[in-house]
Amino acid sequence: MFADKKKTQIPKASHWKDVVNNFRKHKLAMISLTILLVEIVLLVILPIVMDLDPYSIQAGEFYAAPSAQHILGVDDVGRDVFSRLIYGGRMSLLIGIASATLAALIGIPLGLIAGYYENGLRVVILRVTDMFMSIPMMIAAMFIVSVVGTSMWTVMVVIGFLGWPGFCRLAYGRVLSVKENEYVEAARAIGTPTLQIIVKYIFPNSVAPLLVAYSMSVASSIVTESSLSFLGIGIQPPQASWGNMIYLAQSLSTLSYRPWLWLPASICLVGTVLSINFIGDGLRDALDPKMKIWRKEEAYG
Amino acid sequence: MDNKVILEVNHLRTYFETKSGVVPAVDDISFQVREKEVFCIVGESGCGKTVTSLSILNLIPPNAGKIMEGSSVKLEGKELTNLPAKEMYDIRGNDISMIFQDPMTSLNPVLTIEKQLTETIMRHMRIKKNAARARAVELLNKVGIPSPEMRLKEYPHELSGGMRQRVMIAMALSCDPRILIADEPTTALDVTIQAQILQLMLELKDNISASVIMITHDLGVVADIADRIMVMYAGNTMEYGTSWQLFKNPLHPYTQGLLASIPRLDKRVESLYSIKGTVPKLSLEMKGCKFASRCPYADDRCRKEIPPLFDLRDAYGDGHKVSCWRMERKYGNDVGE
Amino acid sequence: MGMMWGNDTMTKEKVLLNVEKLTKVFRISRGVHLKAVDGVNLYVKEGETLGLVGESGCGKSTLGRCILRLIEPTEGIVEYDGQAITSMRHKQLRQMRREMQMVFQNPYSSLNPRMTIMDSVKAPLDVFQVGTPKERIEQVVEMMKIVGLDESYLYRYPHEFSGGQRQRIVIARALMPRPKFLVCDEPVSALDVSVRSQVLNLMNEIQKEMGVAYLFISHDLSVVKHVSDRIAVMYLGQIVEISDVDELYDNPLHPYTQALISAIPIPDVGDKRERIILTGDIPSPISPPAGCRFHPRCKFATQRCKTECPSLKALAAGHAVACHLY
Repeated sequence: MFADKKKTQIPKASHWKDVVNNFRKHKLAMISLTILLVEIVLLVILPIVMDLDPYSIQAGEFYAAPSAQHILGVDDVGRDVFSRLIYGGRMSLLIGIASATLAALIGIPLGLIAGYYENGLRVVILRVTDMFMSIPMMIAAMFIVSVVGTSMWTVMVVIGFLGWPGFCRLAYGRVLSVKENEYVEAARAIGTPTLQIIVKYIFPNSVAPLLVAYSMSVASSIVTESSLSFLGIGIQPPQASWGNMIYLAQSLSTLSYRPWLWLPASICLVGTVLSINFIGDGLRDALDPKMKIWRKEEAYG
Repeated sequence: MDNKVILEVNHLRTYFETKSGVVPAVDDISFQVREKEVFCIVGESGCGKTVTSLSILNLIPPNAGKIMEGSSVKLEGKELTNLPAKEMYDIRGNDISMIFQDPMTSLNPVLTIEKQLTETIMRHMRIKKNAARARAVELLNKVGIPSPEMRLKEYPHELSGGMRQRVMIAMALSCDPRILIADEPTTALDVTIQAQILQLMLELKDNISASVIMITHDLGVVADIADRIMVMYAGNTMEYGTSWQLFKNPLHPYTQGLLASIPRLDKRVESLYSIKGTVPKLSLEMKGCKFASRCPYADDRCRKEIPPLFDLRDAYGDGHKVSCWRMERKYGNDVGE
Repeated sequence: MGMMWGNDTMTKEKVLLNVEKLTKVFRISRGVHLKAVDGVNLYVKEGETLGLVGESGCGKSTLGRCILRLIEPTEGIVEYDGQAITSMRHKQLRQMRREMQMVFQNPYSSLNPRMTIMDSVKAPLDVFQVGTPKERIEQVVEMMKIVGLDESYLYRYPHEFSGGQRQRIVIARALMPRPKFLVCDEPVSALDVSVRSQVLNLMNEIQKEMGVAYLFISHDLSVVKHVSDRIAVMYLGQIVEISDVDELYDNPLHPYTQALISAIPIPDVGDKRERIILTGDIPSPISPPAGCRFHPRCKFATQRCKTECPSLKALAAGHAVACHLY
């Protein structure tokens, strides 16, 4: 009765195809994605194809302005700024992604559990989350780093570990609303085991805002790392990060007269964080089911 | 039944812009509402009945849809489609007011009933607060709310669904509108409460000067309250006439199908009639009668040409209009039952 | 034990489901409790449809879910085919789910939007590992034919379907484990009139062919009348009247049933029935009236009704009512 031969030939459209199509229409997000991809490719390839050396000190050349040999000049102890910018970018992105991933891996499962089970477990998880949320992030990070000592790993772990409550809260809230859908009850009615319900029914329907939060978290982790480095407790020289490059701007004369030392890193940092945020915005719009046409038509009444 | 015409809608077309193309949600609809009558627009979801009412009030969200060139909505001779926003604002509430399906979402949850009601009255009737309050009490009495003074102090969530709908009706009546548009006013209510509200509307019908445009999908409700009925399907008028004409002598296959597919308390059948298929997706490319794809009588002509509204006369009087090619040979003649 | 009323001697069909003194109390907050279902007794015979009618808040959906133990009942017994479901352990209960299934009200939220139709319909078989994966797919294809959907739709997602089509899919999913009992919670109330009759006819055909028993929950008395063999009327957590369908509509005894039937608008003009318009609202189930729960809205209420809650009494074969008038 519904068999309409023409209709059956329409290629099946999946939800993710819709999402990709919607995302493509978001100009700002597409530009940002392009910028970010180019940036990642450069950060990966340049150290291989170019002879970059971020560590060795060019004797007597400190504070040298940009020249043919050092296109972005030389820093306070005589290291090539361009090389450091590339290596610092690798470090910043790595820390951003690793910390956000860690935070998501801790926060999301806890949030899913707290949302699905309506017992003591939920109470415990939510209270611990509240506790963590009330800790001022920067101060806690400074404290831990100063106790444990600074390294790339500690910075990553500290940022990630302090960042999970956001994911937990968000996942929890999503589960609460997704759980109300009758398909979850239907899954229970056919005898689906709890773990399968969470993995196959609840998580896929909660993933949209989490994905957005993840992209935002990458951006904020990069900023946090930079702040820590700027305060001198993040990535330690001679290792480079955008944050500890901007750290040089703490000296007034550098800030005023030697912009090549801090401006490139600052521009890269702001550009990267903005791009990631725009991508997050684009994702949010693309994943919003209200963007779908059939919903709109339903609203005509 | 030949009262003065208050509202005249002519060739109303409201199109929506979507990603899959232009959707003609309302496509060339004409009807008239007379003084003190209850005019029902009936149809299933997506037939354009709500869009019709929003078009009358000029409330189509400008970024989504638009009332097309050539459409005309006249309230007592005054054209509304091209009225400036400010003047339209005065019309809404003063001359035309509206009741929605879900009273909870149309009342502000953080304000008392008194505040919401008196402010509406003060704004539209330009009277003092005390007078407005007295009027509010009088209105609540009119819509059958017991101890109105007490109820005025309450917040929307403290009232039951039926009470909230009564408050909405009171609010809509507060400025003596010429026309009251009720969009599925009883759909969200329980059966016994729905009966109360319908009873109230029937009582009010004799006591107020407003004409009522009632939008609903429930043919039972329509039979209870309507003077004249327009049946809509996929943005077009299918059939139009008095309630006697439509219920006793339905002529359009869609109306006939709808009536036959409702399980009835007063009859028992083994298997219900069902209109095969589903409502088509609306698009400008659609040709012919919109119902053709589901109509048991459809022929080639139905699929190619849109039938006009044939104006017929039957045992129940003039003005039975049917948009179906099968009526062509009966055009201008009497059609028996 | 068992049927304390309406012990049908006319029909010899086996009782499939027996519910005794089923009660569900929800805790709203400290000291505030809601008795959604209050000591309900009923039975459903093999292959029949028991309609369960009531207005919002009367506990009909909760009752349906308690029977399937999707909500844990507070008290009472549910027996299916002689086995007490209410005292089953988790593992046993999971096995029982193959026998008893549910069709939901809202076709837009009862299918997982991220799963293809094939995966959704096949899920009950996957959970119980019925047959080989290939056999499961074959069974799904066969079921799609039964519910009248084209098999080319199987690899699409729910949002591509209309409400009526989705409800067919939901029915297909519920029927996959070949259950003998189906709780249908307002299965057509979200559908348009023209599609509603398609789904109702489909459910009737399925019952005839597969012999499934339905507990058909609805607020719409005309729909219930069309599908049911017997009807139970619920008000504020209690069953006030239960009867064979024709008997209930020809001779409604409880004042609430009478009002409910007369409140239904009939789609015809010149209908000169005397309407019984109940006054007042449905009381909150959190603080229901003492005595007969219907007495504040009942025009026949006496002093006795205000203090003493009437119990369900069998008056004729298959017709029981809870009212002091009888």
